[in-house]
Amino acid sequence: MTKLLEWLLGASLIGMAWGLVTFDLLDLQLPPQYRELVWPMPVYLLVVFGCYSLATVGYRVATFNDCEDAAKELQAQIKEAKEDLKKKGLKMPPSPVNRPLPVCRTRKKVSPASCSCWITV
Amino acid sequence: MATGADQAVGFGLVGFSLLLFTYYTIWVIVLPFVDSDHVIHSYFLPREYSVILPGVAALILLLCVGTFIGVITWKNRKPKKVD
Repeated sequence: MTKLLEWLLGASLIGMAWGLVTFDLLDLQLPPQYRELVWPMPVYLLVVFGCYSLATVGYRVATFNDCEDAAKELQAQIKEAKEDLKKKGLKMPPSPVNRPLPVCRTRKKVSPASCSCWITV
Repeated sequence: MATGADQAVGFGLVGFSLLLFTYYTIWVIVLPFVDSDHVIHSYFLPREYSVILPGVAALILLLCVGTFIGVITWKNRKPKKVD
């Protein structure tokens, strides 16, 4: 059984249970509060999932690690390389004024020298 | 740690989603078990809106995403090359 089939099976079982309670297809005579609780459930679960996703994204944005020193080091190295190549006669395209700084992909606190994981965002 | 604006935006998102989650949970799960003459009911709309409002919000989100894609696609259209 593939994962897709598993998820579809689980989702359809839950969907059937929800339909049975909401539309009272088995005449179970549940107390009215429980019926009131069950019918918005699909929308409620979707909203909760959306809130969880938003909170996760926000938290990871707030705790992302900037390698300030590694960024400066990289800018210096770029400048050095450009000057070196200019001397050898290579024409350089103009660099953008606001070059994005490298950021550290891990959230661990590492020293800039050993921070080998930075990427340019 | 990310600084300044990044932290503000990040924690702002976390706070907003916590508020939204709490309000919506009370609206959908807690209120049916509270007596209908309790004062807390005055802070919440009728129950139908707990399904209608997220539905409308989802539609607006889809509209914004579709419009954005359409605008970008329109901007990036290139004239056909004539050989």
